Amino acid sequence: MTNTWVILPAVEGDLDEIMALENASFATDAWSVDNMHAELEVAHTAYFVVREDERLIGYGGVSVIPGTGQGDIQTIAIDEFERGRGVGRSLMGALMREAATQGAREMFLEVRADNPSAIGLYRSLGFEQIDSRKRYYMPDGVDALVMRANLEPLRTQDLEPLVLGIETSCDETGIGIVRGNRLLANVISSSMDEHARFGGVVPEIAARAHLEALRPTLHEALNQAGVTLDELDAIAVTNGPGLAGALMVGVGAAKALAVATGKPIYAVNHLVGHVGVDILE
Amino acid sequence: MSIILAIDTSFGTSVALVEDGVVRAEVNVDDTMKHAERIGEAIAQVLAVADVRPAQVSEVVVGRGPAPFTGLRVGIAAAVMFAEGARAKLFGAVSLDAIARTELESAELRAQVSHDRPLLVTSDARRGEVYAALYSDVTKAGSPVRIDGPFVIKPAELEAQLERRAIEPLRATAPVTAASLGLLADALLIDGLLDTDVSALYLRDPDATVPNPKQRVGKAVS
Ligand SMILES: [Zn+2]
Repeated sequence: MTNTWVILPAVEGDLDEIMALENASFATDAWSVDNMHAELEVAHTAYFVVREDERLIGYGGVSVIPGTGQGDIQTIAIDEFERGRGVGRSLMGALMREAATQGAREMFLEVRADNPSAIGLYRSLGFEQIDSRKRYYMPDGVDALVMRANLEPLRTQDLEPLVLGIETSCDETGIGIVRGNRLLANVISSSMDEHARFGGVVPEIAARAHLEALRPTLHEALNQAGVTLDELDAIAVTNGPGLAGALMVGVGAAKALAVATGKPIYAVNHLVGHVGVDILE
Repeated sequence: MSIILAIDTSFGTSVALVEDGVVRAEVNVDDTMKHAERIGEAIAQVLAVADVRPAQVSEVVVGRGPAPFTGLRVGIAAAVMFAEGARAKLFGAVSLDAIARTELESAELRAQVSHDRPLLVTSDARRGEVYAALYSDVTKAGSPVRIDGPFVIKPAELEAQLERRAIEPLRATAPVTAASLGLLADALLIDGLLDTDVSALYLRDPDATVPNPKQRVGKAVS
């Protein structure tokens, strides 16, 4: 058989099929439909399904808590009749790349000690046993092996450019970090509360708020993306249109950051910036 | 051993590099409208002239003003981000103090200055007002001792106040430069007085006023 499956981000409409496979795969300790639904919706997790000829033959999820640099395999299941074809390896690869892209430097998983083929697959993907948990899988009382893989090679290899963008165009300071066209972080320190008091955007107040927000906004964005300034490939800044005063703060800040880090700087139009944010996945 | 990058945008765009109390490079651009465009190249220029890499900068000091609003915060934003990018320590200093330090380099002035005959430093605050501060002394390292200010005031009112307090000050109106700010930071560092506060000193409230919540627009219906 050839590998004609595709790996797609899971959507809510996949839930019934996922649950069918979940119940078939984990007879004694399957998640409830509510649990699974919540997993698909919650922030910081990414679930994928494997489909072949429209049929769902596997699914798996990873969680990356921003700032930790760690990814955790939440669950993974492959249709029992489709095992041994490399579907699991392909799905694991997608989960590991996703975690690396979201800033994970290492990845953890637990696996049943009585599942040698799964353990073998994880070993071949670079996972090593670092711990075990006695009688982790109940009610069977089966131990879990805790395994860890280093994702650094995935992070540095074939990665699309990492760009930090600063926008201080109108009423907020926004710092976004993108890898290619994927949004890793978008932190906006809106000065809306200040504005509400003044019934609109007051240039001077907007600009003052930008200044106070700059440093915490930068730190939060780097944490969320799980990257450091050293890793950036470029810096982008909004160059208008917008309120002149607020705009200048961002331009001055971005230029200074570019000189300090030795990274190239690009100007982007404010409106393009907004559209750009919309088309990011 | 300290390599200080000093940035002051309270008037023009001024950037300097001060190494162990010696000005190694400075760039001063008078254009008050182009702070944002100039700041990046000015920083790059002083680093190039002094042959210093960003990572070698140990302290960044920024002039907090007081100054009219527009340009000041560009310098502060640039200082914040440069310090982040270069992993340098970030400090702020009162721009008027830099003028005082420069003036009080003069042995003659130092001999005259006292609590009763302080040095008055003023700078243009626009709208017919000046920023002002008074200094009574200077430390051995060169940190000026500010006894009053900074405040914003109409010149006539400042003179009236000085007269009421029977103060006949020594006067300084030299412009602030990043070089003088960097030398000030070096002195403050030696004296352990360099402050991490980088908030802008506008001294005036924003032009916008908070609307009175009780005041309603439109007809009352009852
Ligand atoms: Zn905007």
